[in-house]
Amino acid sequence: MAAVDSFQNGVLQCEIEPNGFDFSNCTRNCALARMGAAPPRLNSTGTTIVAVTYKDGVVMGADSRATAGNIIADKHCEKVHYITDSIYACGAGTAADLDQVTKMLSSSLRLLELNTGRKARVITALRIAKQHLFNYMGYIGAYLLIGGVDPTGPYLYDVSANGVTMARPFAAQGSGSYAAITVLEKDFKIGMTEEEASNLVQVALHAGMHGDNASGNSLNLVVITPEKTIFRGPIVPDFCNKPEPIESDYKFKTGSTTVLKKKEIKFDIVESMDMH
Amino acid sequence: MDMMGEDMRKAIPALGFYPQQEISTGTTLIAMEYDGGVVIGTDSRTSAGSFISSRTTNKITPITDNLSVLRSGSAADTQAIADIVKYYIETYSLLENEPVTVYRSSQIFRQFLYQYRDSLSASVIIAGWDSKLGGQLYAIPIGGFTTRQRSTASGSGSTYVLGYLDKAWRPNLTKDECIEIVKTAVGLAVFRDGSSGGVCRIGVINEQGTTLTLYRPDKPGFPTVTLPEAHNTYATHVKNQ
Repeated sequence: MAAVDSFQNGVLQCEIEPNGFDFSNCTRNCALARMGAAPPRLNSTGTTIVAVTYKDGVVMGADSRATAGNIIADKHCEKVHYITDSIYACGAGTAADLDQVTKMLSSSLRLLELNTGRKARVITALRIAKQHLFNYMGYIGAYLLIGGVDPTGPYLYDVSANGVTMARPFAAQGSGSYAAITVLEKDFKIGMTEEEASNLVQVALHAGMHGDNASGNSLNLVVITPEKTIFRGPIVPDFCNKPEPIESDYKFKTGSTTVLKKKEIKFDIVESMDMH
Repeated sequence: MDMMGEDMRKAIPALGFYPQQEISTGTTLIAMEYDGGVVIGTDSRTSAGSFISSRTTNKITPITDNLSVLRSGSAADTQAIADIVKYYIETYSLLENEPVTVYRSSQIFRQFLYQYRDSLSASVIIAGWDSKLGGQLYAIPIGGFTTRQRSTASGSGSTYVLGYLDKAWRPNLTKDECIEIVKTAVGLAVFRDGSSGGVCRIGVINEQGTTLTLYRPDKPGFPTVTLPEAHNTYATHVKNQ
């Protein structure tokens, strides 16, 4: 009898899911790495994502390159994720984590909309994302820009993998964000029109795709207004199609160096072979 | 909550896991009691390594109308703790149908910050007003030790102004005098501390509630420091122009 019980317990033990992440593989992977077994690299998105609020809405955009180390793993990666009809999220960081987190967000917000009969708010999406990411202490590598319009107005939030959130008028994330943020800092104005905002997002994305090796290929945009959500893309910028012309000619013209002295040496060519 | 020590946050190269350091240890937080309330002041810089990830952060987080918390340390940890404590204080005040005192609020903060002291890097100042003790401020540094103070400073910028604050505080300060002291202290700290900067946010908490004001470096009112002219440092053989 006791043997049966312990057997049953063993079966049950397997079926009970542990809470949260199981970290046992981390130590195994570290041990493998020490033994010289190179682990497969995570498919991480070196990214430029940009978002800007304007008079009555939000414009968000992303490049479409996914990298695994130096290799472009995907040239048409979709980094603008659907959350609800009027809330979208741009993601930088680990591609798999971003897919999972944004799917989780969209399903829980849809459920909330059906239960309440109201449109979900951006702040709700933010809260769910923030608390989920904080629980996992940064191990879920999702860096998000959550933007959208709800009955209380347009909003844009920046969410980091470790659970930091900030409300912002404009934002950029990913490895190309340093280039993109300079453009935003220079040209962002409060109360822009839709056209101005989407132009600014495009120019900022161009800067990111230009200056960052891990960003490029094409860009996707989403414009969210109180009435409708418009998705534009993929747009391929000119500099992604053809190599840029070299602006200056680096060749020296003949005669640039003055000849100071000339000397002629006459010699015979002797054919030879080295024999070892 | 989490049960993992600081060492578990280190990078795990085998997994490709590199935790992003979004730590706002570079901070200046100032708070000072006056007759009838407290004045609080902060800078607005959030750093991730050498990058300023936000230059307009609000480190003053309102909990109730008469209570705010000033956050320093890990931004993620302090935001999460502030959210949880806000939820507790809202629940208590609904259950008991009266506002939670500033002292009790500080003890709720202490409970969390002490219990999870090994896994958090959070240091806060709790500033508020209640009808029992008037304006109060409590400092909780990283271990969870809680003390009430007349005036206090926290964060990397605090080292530059603690002496100034000790000298400046006196009994029966008026609100305006206190604002001026706190503003000057923020200005002095931001001037010397490389990891503090941005705008200056000043808050006043008293019986009437909380008022927040913003001072931008490109608008009048921002605290500035004027130094005497520096010695020129040419080598002795260089002709002075």
